[in-house]
Amino acid sequence: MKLRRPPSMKEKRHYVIFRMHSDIPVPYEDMKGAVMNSVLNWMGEKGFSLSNAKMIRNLWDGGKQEGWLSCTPKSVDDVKMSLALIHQIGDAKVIFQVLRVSGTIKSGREKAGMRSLASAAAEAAGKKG
Amino acid sequence: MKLWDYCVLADSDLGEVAKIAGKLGWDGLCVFGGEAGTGKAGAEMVRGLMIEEKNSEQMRKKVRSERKKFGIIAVMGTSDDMNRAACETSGVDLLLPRGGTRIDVVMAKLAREKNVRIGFEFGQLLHSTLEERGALFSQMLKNAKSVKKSRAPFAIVSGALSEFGLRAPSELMAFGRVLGFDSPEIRDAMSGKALEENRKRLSGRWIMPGVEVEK
Repeated sequence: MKLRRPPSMKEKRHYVIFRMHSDIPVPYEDMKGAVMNSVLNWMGEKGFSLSNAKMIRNLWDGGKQEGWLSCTPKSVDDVKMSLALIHQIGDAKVIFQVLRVSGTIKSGREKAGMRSLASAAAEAAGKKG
Repeated sequence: MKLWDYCVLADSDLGEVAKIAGKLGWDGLCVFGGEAGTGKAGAEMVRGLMIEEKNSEQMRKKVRSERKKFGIIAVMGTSDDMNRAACETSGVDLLLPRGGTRIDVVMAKLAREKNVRIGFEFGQLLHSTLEERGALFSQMLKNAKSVKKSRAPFAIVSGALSEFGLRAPSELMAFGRVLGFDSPEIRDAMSGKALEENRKRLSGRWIMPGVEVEK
Protein backbone atom coordinates (compact mmCIF):
# COMPACT_ATOMS: atom_id res chain seq x y z
CA MET A 1 0.00 0.00 0.00
CA LYS A 2 1.28 3.43 -0.90
CA LEU A 3 1.86 5.68 2.10
CA ARG A 4 0.33 9.12 1.70
CA ARG A 5 0.49 12.22 3.79
CA PRO A 6 -2.89 12.94 5.43
CA PRO A 7 -4.58 16.08 4.12
CA SER A 8 -4.11 17.77 7.51
CA MET A 9 -0.34 17.68 6.95
CA LYS A 10 -0.56 19.48 3.63
CA GLU A 11 0.94 22.94 3.59
CA LYS A 12 -1.80 25.55 3.38
CA ARG A 13 -1.76 27.97 0.46
CA HIS A 14 -3.35 31.27 -0.34
CA TYR A 15 -3.80 32.57 -3.86
CA VAL A 16 -3.20 36.23 -4.61
CA ILE A 17 -5.06 37.36 -7.74
CA PHE A 18 -3.59 40.51 -9.22
CA ARG A 19 -4.04 42.81 -12.18
CA MET A 20 -1.20 44.72 -13.79
CA HIS A 21 -1.96 48.20 -15.11
CA SER A 22 0.68 49.28 -17.62
CA ASP A 23 1.11 51.74 -20.47
CA ILE A 24 2.31 48.92 -22.79
CA PRO A 25 1.53 45.16 -22.53
CA VAL A 26 4.18 43.17 -20.65
CA PRO A 27 4.98 39.53 -21.53
CA TYR A 28 4.56 36.82 -18.89
CA GLU A 29 8.27 36.02 -18.55
CA ASP A 30 9.23 39.64 -17.87
CA MET A 31 6.40 40.03 -15.37
CA LYS A 32 7.32 36.82 -13.56
CA GLY A 33 10.99 37.83 -13.36
CA ALA A 34 10.11 41.25 -11.93
CA VAL A 35 7.68 39.80 -9.36
CA MET A 36 10.03 37.10 -8.14
CA ASN A 37 12.93 39.56 -7.98
CA SER A 38 10.82 41.97 -5.94
CA VAL A 39 9.68 39.24 -3.54
CA LEU A 40 13.30 38.15 -3.12
CA ASN A 41 14.46 41.74 -2.50
CA TRP A 42 11.72 42.50 0.01
CA MET A 43 11.62 39.25 1.96
CA GLY A 44 15.19 38.05 1.59
CA GLU A 45 16.23 34.53 0.63
CA LYS A 46 14.96 32.98 3.86
CA GLY A 47 11.61 34.77 3.73
CA PHE A 48 11.24 33.88 0.06
CA SER A 49 11.80 30.19 0.74
CA LEU A 50 9.46 30.20 3.74
CA SER A 51 6.74 32.02 1.79
CA ASN A 52 6.84 29.37 -0.95
CA ALA A 53 5.79 32.03 -3.47
CA LYS A 54 5.01 30.61 -6.90
CA MET A 55 3.53 32.14 -10.03
CA ILE A 56 0.83 30.01 -11.69
CA ARG A 57 1.53 29.97 -15.41
CA ASN A 58 -1.76 28.39 -16.54
CA LEU A 59 -3.88 31.11 -14.94
CA TRP A 60 -2.08 34.09 -16.54
CA ASP A 61 -4.46 36.11 -18.71
CA GLY A 62 -2.33 38.08 -21.17
CA GLY A 63 -5.27 40.10 -22.50
CA LYS A 64 -6.47 41.39 -19.15
CA GLN A 65 -2.93 41.23 -17.69
CA GLU A 66 -4.22 39.28 -14.69
CA GLY A 67 -2.27 36.63 -12.86
CA TRP A 68 -2.23 34.36 -9.82
CA LEU A 69 0.47 33.93 -7.22
CA SER A 70 0.38 31.27 -4.53
CA CYS A 71 2.05 31.67 -1.14
CA THR A 72 1.64 30.66 2.49
CA PRO A 73 -1.14 32.46 4.44
CA LYS A 74 1.37 34.13 6.78
CA SER A 75 3.27 35.78 3.95
CA VAL A 76 0.31 37.30 2.06
CA ASP A 77 0.96 40.85 3.31
CA ASP A 78 4.64 40.67 2.44
CA VAL A 79 3.82 39.34 -1.02
CA LYS A 80 1.34 42.21 -1.50
CA MET A 81 4.04 44.67 -0.43
CA SER A 82 6.48 43.10 -2.89
CA LEU A 83 3.96 43.49 -5.71
CA ALA A 84 3.32 47.10 -4.73
CA LEU A 85 7.04 47.88 -4.80
CA ILE A 86 7.27 47.17 -8.54
CA HIS A 87 6.88 50.34 -10.56
CA GLN A 88 8.71 49.53 -13.77
CA ILE A 89 9.29 46.42 -15.90
CA GLY A 90 11.70 47.13 -18.74
CA ASP A 91 10.43 50.34 -20.32
CA ALA A 92 6.85 49.87 -19.12
CA LYS A 93 5.58 51.72 -16.08
CA VAL A 94 3.30 49.44 -14.10
CA ILE A 95 0.91 49.37 -11.15
CA PHE A 96 0.07 46.04 -9.53
CA GLN A 97 -3.40 45.86 -8.04
CA VAL A 98 -4.39 42.92 -5.86
CA LEU A 99 -7.96 41.93 -6.77
CA ARG A 100 -8.61 39.15 -4.27
CA VAL A 101 -6.90 36.73 -1.92
CA SER A 102 -8.49 33.30 -1.75
CA GLY A 103 -7.89 29.91 -0.21
CA THR A 104 -8.69 27.85 -3.29
CA ILE A 105 -8.54 28.45 -7.03
CA LYS A 106 -12.26 27.70 -7.35
CA SER A 107 -13.37 30.26 -4.77
CA GLY A 108 -10.85 32.75 -6.14
CA ARG A 109 -12.40 32.56 -9.60
CA GLU A 110 -15.87 33.02 -8.13
CA LYS A 111 -14.83 35.96 -5.95
CA ALA A 112 -12.98 37.69 -8.75
CA GLY A 113 -15.99 37.32 -11.05
CA MET A 114 -14.21 34.98 -13.45
CA ARG A 115 -15.75 32.01 -15.22
CA SER A 116 -15.44 28.70 -13.39
CA LEU A 117 -12.95 26.20 -14.75
CA ALA A 118 -15.81 23.79 -15.60
CA SER A 119 -17.69 26.36 -17.70
CA ALA A 120 -14.47 27.43 -19.44
CA ALA A 121 -13.71 23.77 -20.28
CA ALA A 122 -17.29 23.22 -21.50
CA GLU A 123 -17.05 26.31 -23.72
CA ALA A 124 -13.72 25.13 -25.13
CA ALA A 125 -15.24 21.69 -25.82
CA GLY A 126 -18.23 23.36 -27.53
CA LYS A 127 -15.93 25.35 -29.80
CA LYS A 128 -14.04 22.21 -30.81
CA GLY A 129 -17.29 20.36 -31.49
CA MET B 1 -16.78 53.49 4.31
CA LYS B 2 -15.07 55.86 1.90
CA LEU B 3 -11.35 55.40 1.35
CA TRP B 4 -9.08 58.42 1.01
CA ASP B 5 -5.44 58.75 0.06
CA TYR B 6 -4.31 61.82 2.00
CA CYS B 7 -1.12 62.55 0.11
CA VAL B 8 -0.73 62.65 -3.65
CA LEU B 9 2.13 64.89 -4.71
CA ALA B 10 1.46 64.71 -8.45
CA ASP B 11 1.06 68.13 -10.03
CA SER B 12 0.48 67.26 -13.68
CA ASP B 13 -2.39 65.56 -15.49
CA LEU B 14 -4.64 65.30 -12.47
CA GLY B 15 -7.49 64.00 -14.64
CA GLU B 16 -5.45 60.87 -15.38
CA VAL B 17 -4.51 60.56 -11.69
CA ALA B 18 -8.21 60.72 -10.69
CA LYS B 19 -9.15 58.18 -13.35
CA ILE B 20 -6.53 55.63 -12.27
CA ALA B 21 -7.29 56.24 -8.57
CA GLY B 22 -10.96 55.46 -9.30
CA LYS B 23 -9.94 52.25 -11.08
CA LEU B 24 -7.80 51.23 -8.11
CA GLY B 25 -10.70 51.71 -5.69
CA TRP B 26 -10.10 55.10 -4.08
CA ASP B 27 -13.07 57.35 -3.31
CA GLY B 28 -10.98 60.45 -2.83
CA LEU B 29 -7.51 61.93 -3.03
CA CYS B 30 -5.87 64.87 -1.34
CA VAL B 31 -3.66 66.58 -3.91
CA PHE B 32 -0.78 68.89 -3.13
CA GLY B 33 -0.10 71.06 -6.17
CA GLY B 34 -2.17 71.59 -9.29
CA GLU B 35 -5.83 72.44 -9.50
CA ALA B 36 -8.08 69.97 -7.71
CA GLY B 37 -11.75 69.29 -8.20
CA THR B 38 -14.06 66.42 -8.90
CA GLY B 39 -13.06 64.86 -12.19
CA LYS B 40 -15.56 63.59 -14.75
CA ALA B 41 -14.67 60.04 -13.81
CA GLY B 42 -12.71 58.63 -10.95
CA ALA B 43 -11.92 59.76 -7.45
CA GLU B 44 -12.92 63.01 -5.80
CA MET B 45 -10.06 65.44 -5.21
CA VAL B 46 -9.39 67.89 -2.40
CA ARG B 47 -6.70 70.51 -2.52
CA GLY B 48 -4.12 70.54 0.23
CA LEU B 49 -1.14 72.65 1.21
CA MET B 50 2.30 71.16 1.75
CA ILE B 51 4.52 73.26 4.01
CA GLU B 52 8.24 72.75 3.47
CA GLU B 53 9.71 75.44 5.74
CA LYS B 54 12.98 74.91 7.58
CA ASN B 55 12.09 77.33 10.37
CA SER B 56 9.39 76.12 12.76
CA GLU B 57 8.16 79.66 13.55
CA GLN B 58 7.57 80.34 9.84
CA MET B 59 5.77 77.02 9.56
CA ARG B 60 3.40 78.00 12.40
CA LYS B 61 2.73 81.41 10.80
CA LYS B 62 1.91 79.76 7.49
CA VAL B 63 -0.42 77.26 9.15
CA ARG B 64 -2.31 80.07 10.91
CA SER B 65 -2.66 82.17 7.76
CA GLU B 66 -3.62 79.37 5.36
CA ARG B 67 -5.72 77.17 7.66
CA LYS B 68 -9.11 78.20 6.32
CA LYS B 69 -8.15 78.02 2.65
CA PHE B 70 -7.22 74.33 2.29
CA GLY B 71 -8.85 70.99 3.02
CA ILE B 72 -5.66 69.46 4.40
CA ILE B 73 -2.47 71.08 5.68
CA ALA B 74 0.58 68.84 5.67
CA VAL B 75 4.07 69.53 6.97
CA MET B 76 7.19 67.95 5.53
CA GLY B 77 9.19 66.75 8.52
CA THR B 78 12.71 67.33 7.21
CA SER B 79 14.31 67.29 10.67
CA ASP B 80 13.51 66.05 14.17
CA ASP B 81 12.94 69.65 15.34
CA MET B 82 10.44 70.24 12.55
CA ASN B 83 8.64 67.02 13.47
CA ARG B 84 8.38 68.18 17.05
CA ALA B 85 7.13 71.65 16.05
CA ALA B 86 4.51 70.13 13.72
CA CYS B 87 3.28 67.79 16.47
CA GLU B 88 2.82 70.83 18.75
CA THR B 89 0.79 72.82 16.18
CA SER B 90 -2.93 72.12 16.29
CA GLY B 91 -3.71 73.43 12.77
CA VAL B 92 -1.56 70.77 11.12
CA ASP B 93 -3.48 67.77 9.77
CA LEU B 94 -0.67 65.59 8.52
CA LEU B 95 3.00 65.29 9.34
CA LEU B 96 5.19 63.44 6.86
CA PRO B 97 8.52 62.50 8.43
CA ARG B 98 11.10 62.53 5.62
CA GLY B 99 14.58 61.09 5.15
CA GLY B 100 14.38 58.71 8.09
CA THR B 101 13.60 61.41 10.69
CA ARG B 102 12.30 60.16 13.97
CA ILE B 103 8.99 60.34 15.87
CA ASP B 104 9.43 59.43 19.51
CA VAL B 105 6.76 58.66 22.09
CA VAL B 106 6.74 62.26 23.45
CA MET B 107 6.09 63.66 19.96
CA ALA B 108 3.43 61.04 19.30
CA LYS B 109 1.62 61.96 22.53
CA LEU B 110 1.70 65.63 21.54
CA ALA B 111 0.36 64.66 18.11
CA ARG B 112 -2.52 62.82 19.76
CA GLU B 113 -3.36 65.88 21.91
CA LYS B 114 -3.26 68.23 18.92
CA ASN B 115 -4.88 65.74 16.51
CA VAL B 116 -1.96 65.72 14.07
CA ARG B 117 -1.84 62.60 11.93
CA ILE B 118 1.58 60.98 11.52
CA GLY B 119 1.94 59.93 7.90
CA PHE B 120 3.62 56.78 6.64
CA GLU B 121 4.49 57.35 3.01
CA PHE B 122 4.71 54.35 0.68
CA GLY B 123 6.24 56.48 -2.10
CA GLN B 124 9.41 56.94 -0.06
CA LEU B 125 10.03 53.19 -0.18
CA LEU B 126 8.98 52.95 -3.82
CA HIS B 127 11.44 55.55 -5.09
CA SER B 128 14.42 54.55 -2.95
CA THR B 129 17.31 52.24 -3.75
CA LEU B 130 17.60 48.88 -2.00
CA GLU B 131 20.16 50.18 0.51
CA GLU B 132 18.11 53.26 1.35
CA ARG B 133 14.91 51.21 1.60
CA GLY B 134 16.26 49.12 4.47
CA ALA B 135 17.19 52.17 6.55
CA LEU B 136 13.95 54.00 5.73
CA PHE B 137 11.76 51.03 6.60
CA SER B 138 13.67 50.44 9.81
CA GLN B 139 12.96 54.04 10.91
CA MET B 140 9.33 53.70 9.81
CA LEU B 141 8.97 50.62 12.04
CA LYS B 142 10.36 52.57 15.01
CA ASN B 143 8.01 55.48 14.31
CA ALA B 144 5.06 53.10 13.99
CA LYS B 145 5.95 51.56 17.35
CA SER B 146 5.88 55.00 19.01
CA VAL B 147 2.59 55.89 17.30
CA LYS B 148 1.01 52.63 18.36
CA LYS B 149 2.22 52.93 21.93
CA SER B 150 0.82 56.44 22.38
CA ARG B 151 -2.31 55.78 20.28
CA ALA B 152 -1.64 58.81 18.11
CA PRO B 153 -3.64 59.27 14.90
CA PHE B 154 -1.84 58.18 11.77
CA ALA B 155 -2.34 57.95 8.01
CA ILE B 156 -1.04 55.47 5.47
CA VAL B 157 -0.49 57.44 2.25
CA SER B 158 0.88 56.71 -1.19
CA GLY B 159 2.85 59.94 -1.70
CA ALA B 160 2.50 59.41 -5.44
CA LEU B 161 4.48 61.69 -7.75
CA SER B 162 2.45 60.62 -10.80
CA GLU B 163 -0.42 58.29 -11.65
CA PHE B 164 2.02 55.35 -11.67
CA GLY B 165 2.95 56.04 -8.05
CA LEU B 166 -0.60 55.37 -6.89
CA ARG B 167 -1.30 52.08 -5.15
CA ALA B 168 -4.61 50.35 -4.40
CA PRO B 169 -6.11 50.53 -0.87
CA SER B 170 -5.47 46.82 -0.27
CA GLU B 171 -1.73 47.29 -0.92
CA LEU B 172 -1.52 50.24 1.45
CA MET B 173 -3.43 48.19 4.03
CA ALA B 174 -0.82 45.46 3.63
CA PHE B 175 1.87 48.13 4.12
CA GLY B 176 0.14 49.20 7.34
CA ARG B 177 -0.08 45.62 8.60
CA VAL B 178 3.61 45.09 7.82
CA LEU B 179 4.29 48.21 9.94
CA GLY B 180 2.44 46.53 12.81
CA PHE B 181 -0.98 48.22 12.80
CA ASP B 182 -4.28 46.31 12.99
CA SER B 183 -6.72 46.22 10.08
CA PRO B 184 -9.52 48.26 11.79
CA GLU B 185 -7.00 50.96 12.77
CA ILE B 186 -5.72 51.14 9.20
CA ARG B 187 -9.23 51.33 7.74
CA ASP B 188 -9.97 54.13 10.18
CA ALA B 189 -6.74 55.89 9.13
CA MET B 190 -7.81 55.77 5.47
CA SER B 191 -11.37 56.96 6.06
CA GLY B 192 -12.25 60.58 5.33
CA LYS B 193 -12.52 61.52 9.03
CA ALA B 194 -9.75 64.12 8.89
CA LEU B 195 -11.57 65.91 6.09
CA GLU B 196 -14.93 66.07 7.88
CA GLU B 197 -13.64 68.45 10.55
CA ASN B 198 -11.85 70.54 7.92
CA ARG B 199 -14.95 70.79 5.75
CA LYS B 200 -16.74 72.26 8.74
CA ARG B 201 -13.87 74.76 9.10
CA LEU B 202 -14.14 75.73 5.45
CA SER B 203 -17.92 76.22 5.76
CA GLY B 204 -17.43 79.47 7.73
CA ARG B 205 -19.61 78.40 10.68
CA TRP B 206 -16.75 76.80 12.55
CA ILE B 207 -15.29 78.62 15.58
CA MET B 208 -13.15 75.97 17.27
CA PRO B 209 -13.29 72.16 17.73
CA GLY B 210 -16.76 71.41 19.11
CA VAL B 211 -18.07 74.98 18.68
CA GLU B 212 -20.08 75.97 15.59
CA VAL B 213 -22.52 78.74 14.70
CA GLU B 214 -26.02 77.37 14.07
CA LYS B 215 -28.19 79.34 11.64
